Amino acid sequence: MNTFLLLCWVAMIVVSYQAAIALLKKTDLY
Amino acid sequence: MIENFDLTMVNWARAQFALTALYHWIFVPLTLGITWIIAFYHTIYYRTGSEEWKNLTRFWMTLFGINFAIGVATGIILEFEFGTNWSNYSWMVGDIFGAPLAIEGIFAFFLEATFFAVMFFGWNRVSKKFHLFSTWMVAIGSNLSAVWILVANAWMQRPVGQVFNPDSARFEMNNFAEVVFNPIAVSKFTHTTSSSMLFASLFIISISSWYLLKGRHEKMARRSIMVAAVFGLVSSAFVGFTGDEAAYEVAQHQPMKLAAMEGLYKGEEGAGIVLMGMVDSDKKIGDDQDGLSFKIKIPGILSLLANRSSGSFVPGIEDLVYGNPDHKIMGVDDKIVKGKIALTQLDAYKKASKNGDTAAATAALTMFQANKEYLGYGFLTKPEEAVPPVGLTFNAFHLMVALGTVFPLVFLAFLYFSWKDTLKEQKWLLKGGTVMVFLGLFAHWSGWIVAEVGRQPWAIQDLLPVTVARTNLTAGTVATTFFMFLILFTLLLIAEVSIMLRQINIGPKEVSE
Repeated sequence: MNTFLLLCWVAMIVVSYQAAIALLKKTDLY
Repeated sequence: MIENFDLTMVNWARAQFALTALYHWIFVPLTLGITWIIAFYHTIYYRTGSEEWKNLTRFWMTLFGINFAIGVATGIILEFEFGTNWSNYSWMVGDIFGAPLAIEGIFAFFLEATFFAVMFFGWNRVSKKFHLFSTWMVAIGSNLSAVWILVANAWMQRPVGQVFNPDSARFEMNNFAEVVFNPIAVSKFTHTTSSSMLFASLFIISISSWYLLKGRHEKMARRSIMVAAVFGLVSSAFVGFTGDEAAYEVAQHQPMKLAAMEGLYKGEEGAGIVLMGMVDSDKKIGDDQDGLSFKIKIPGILSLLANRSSGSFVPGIEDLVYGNPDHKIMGVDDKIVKGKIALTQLDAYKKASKNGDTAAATAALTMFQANKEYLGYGFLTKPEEAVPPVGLTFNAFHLMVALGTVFPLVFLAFLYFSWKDTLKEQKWLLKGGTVMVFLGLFAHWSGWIVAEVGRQPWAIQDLLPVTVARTNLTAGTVATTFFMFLILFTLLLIAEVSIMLRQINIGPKEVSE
């Protein structure tokens, strides 16, 4: 469970980054 | 033993630690969360070279810098309080507890502080690549700091990787990896840092909402909100997931805390979780009354959360205090007997060793080893002392969960109207947005109250009660420093908030300026 939680934590940061960039580009705010 | 202690001093020492910790926790979650978001802004500036993104990055960096200084000041005072008010604690478990705190200072904080200087003062002084690297290292360093502090706190909740040395009467570390990878430490780290990202997102939304209401820095505010809403929404989903994992760990290793969190006095199979409820202040342990004067429950969910099985038995406070043979739960009175045997035999071992009586020393040590896991209970005088304050734990837990349920809806609303490009027209949402940072802070404070008040009467779960962990000071001394800190921290907070408000009023530099 430890490893899974830590991998999810890294995924949280990566997903936030990718989603924020995608939305900024879609809304012409990039 | 316990009756000789001045309980008032313990309560003042606890109040002083709580005061310092809650002040400290105004600044820390913002640091832990906003550093990742600033690293994101800085990365966009690095990629685009846009002056607008540069000014946006510098603005949030400035607010973070103001916040950072007081976070450090209150954190140092917290560590000193272990020595001033909790010297028995420091003496008995310092070999274990001191290690992660020292690593945090020497390794993580120095890393964070070094790169903080480059990040803050490096504009046009270092290469763009190294400057961006420094910003990232501040985010990584501050979160590494959290790792070690939470490893130390998790050890208080579940003391693994240690052995009691009967010769020195101190706890010593015998497995560093067990201490670091304590499952409670991992769930605490992921829950704390993800909820800090959520809090930082609320902070950015609050300030940006104010700008939109005032019609100032609109493009910067819309960009900031878009990013914060994404980070907030993703992190709030993870906060729910890690919160579930944290509650499971509590159920497995601190069942009394879980029972207090839910106001559950009588254990149940297929126990429900309280959706809404009010603690009955007249309830006495062992009487026929329910612990809650009214409640709305969802059946089976607490059992599912505690044991991953919706029909399983969740012990209540009275099962844990008086025992429940059907479920093989030993009562606190039996644990007190075993704890007192451990203390008596430890004393006998010391005397026999001193007198050179090897046979008696060996016999005493054998008896001690058989009962040592109940050592802390030997300091209690009656079973009811093992129960934490139920009302405070219950209310804090339910406030945290209620707010944690509202936040994703807030992020979704901001995201939806940002996407539709109609956010500026949603005055109701922007007005609500300006106060979100305070709700985020209350949720964080509630979480720590659950963790720390719910662990009472223990400083170290089952091994060391707070009444023994303390320093031998008078209540008046600690009360005096309590009020000194209260005034000092309030002045620091006023200074910080006024500097921050001035910076917010000035706002980010505009490209045309």
